[in-house]
Amino acid sequence: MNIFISFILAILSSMLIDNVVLSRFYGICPFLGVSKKVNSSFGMGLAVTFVIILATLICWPLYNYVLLPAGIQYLDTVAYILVIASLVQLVGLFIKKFSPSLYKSLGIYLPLITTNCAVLGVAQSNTDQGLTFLNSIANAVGTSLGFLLIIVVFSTIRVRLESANTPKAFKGLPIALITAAIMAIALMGLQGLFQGLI
Amino acid sequence: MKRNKGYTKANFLKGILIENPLFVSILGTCPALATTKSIEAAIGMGLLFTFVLICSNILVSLLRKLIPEEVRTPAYIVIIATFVTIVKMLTQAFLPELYSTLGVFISLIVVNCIVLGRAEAYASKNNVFDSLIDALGMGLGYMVALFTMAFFRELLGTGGFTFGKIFTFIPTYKLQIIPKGYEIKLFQNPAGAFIVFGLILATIACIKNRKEAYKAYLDKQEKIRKAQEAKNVGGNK
Amino acid sequence: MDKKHLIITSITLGVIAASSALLIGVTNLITKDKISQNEKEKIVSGIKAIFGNESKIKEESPINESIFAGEYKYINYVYTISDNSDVLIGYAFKTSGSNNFGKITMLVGYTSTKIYKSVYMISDEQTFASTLEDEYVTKITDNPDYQDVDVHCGATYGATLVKEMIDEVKGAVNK
Repeated sequence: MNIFISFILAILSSMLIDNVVLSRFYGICPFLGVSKKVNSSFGMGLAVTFVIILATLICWPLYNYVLLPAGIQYLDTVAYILVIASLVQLVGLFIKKFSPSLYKSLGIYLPLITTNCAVLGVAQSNTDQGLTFLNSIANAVGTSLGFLLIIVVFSTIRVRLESANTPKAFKGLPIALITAAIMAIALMGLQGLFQGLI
Repeated sequence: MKRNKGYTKANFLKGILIENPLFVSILGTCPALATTKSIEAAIGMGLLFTFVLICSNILVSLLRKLIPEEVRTPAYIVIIATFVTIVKMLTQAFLPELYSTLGVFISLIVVNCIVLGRAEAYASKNNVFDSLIDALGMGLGYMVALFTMAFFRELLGTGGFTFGKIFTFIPTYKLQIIPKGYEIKLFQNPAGAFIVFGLILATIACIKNRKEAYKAYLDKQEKIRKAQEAKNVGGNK
Repeated sequence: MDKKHLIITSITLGVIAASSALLIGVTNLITKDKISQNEKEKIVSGIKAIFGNESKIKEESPINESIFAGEYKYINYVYTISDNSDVLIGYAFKTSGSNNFGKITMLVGYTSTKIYKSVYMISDEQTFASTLEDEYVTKITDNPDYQDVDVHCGATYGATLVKEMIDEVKGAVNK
């Protein structure tokens, strides 16, 4: 029971309190680039979730059962990025076969998941921090859910910003960044969420 | 090879001003927001990034005729990841303070859009010397951009600058410009990073708009003057 | 693609992969010693931070070969600290442990009169490391009443782990 509670707490803390985009700065490029429409943000968030969880499931055993016993743990970055690149290709083929409309709407952003800092960042920090397998999965699930939540919320705000009366110099990206700053301040208030448990 | 005389100079300068990777192309934003808490960390990140960019550009340019077209991207990724791992180990050995400050963001240079983008867009199509100059310009431009963000974040967030904490061969020195108690601590938080980035982009857009408005004004004056002249010539006839 | 093209592609990729592995291996050989030297220097500077600049390590031993031998969850090494005239001033225990949020390695210093002196963080890989540092560790450094500092500080799991490690050292010293 204790393990279950701490598992849920780990997911919630990496999703809300130490949010992947607004606190750890991992997925900024798609966060700023894809979030103009709600549908494409949702699709992007789902694809990133899928890739992060699969990547953690492959990379953690790869590090702890292959690289570490062989003493070549410094090859972890190269191994992880190759795993992630192949995973993104596979996921692309999968989506193309089962949902061609989603594939078309994602367009160029699907190969861009390879250069998403969140995927490599989660995989690398899991092994840098020396987490156990269960905690790595909690970290991965929390990170991807946090990314999905934030990118969908941000895109709903951005859609309204398009028709708002912003000053000319702020149109487009600058006002979106100020909005992201306000969202980050709002999430700072969640720091006492579990009343001293976390 | 047809090149006009100022090609190398333009190639170098474009990375700093016209095509600044962070402020114009909006690439590589993840390290830019995360490592700019202090100017020493920003300069350190900029130097490591420039080193990786130069090495990868040179190697990709050397091998550009040998790498087959289909496996281009995985090959570039392997080359870049190799240099990032080397840089990581050298930093851990010789600059341990910088290593513990930057943390996982040294590994994230691999997925930095700038490095991969430059390898695919420029180094795979130009010779070694041009790729080297391009890498130098882009790296220097990125470092200047990081330095600008860190300058404002540290000045407003802690009230001054601290030297010598990361580059330990410089004697430790704290320069306090804003008196203690009047600093805005928000700028050291993640929210402050977004604010500074947004304000810098807004300033650049404002300057650009002003230039364009002034140019449009000059064109309009020119048109009015020409219409007046045509009228005068027609009237004198 | 025909067979010859396939073979050329595979050979090129193989050569790139092999040379990159070679380069990384060479760099590893060069930097390995410097990295372990850096770790030793970090421990020395930690001991100086706890006991003052006049201290040096007289001897170090794994915990089970020292006078504090026993079953411990966190303690790995013990360093006997003496000042420049070889007078014993205390002991430093190197402990490491991990919880859901990462791994902590630190030095706990006790004086020769079995009184708690201070802690020094060697490495803190926790997710909320800066909160732990600001809210808990700075309050228990050089503070003899470390038991009174509240663990509910915003990084409660990490603070609890630190406190457990100090308590285990206290049990070891008072044997």
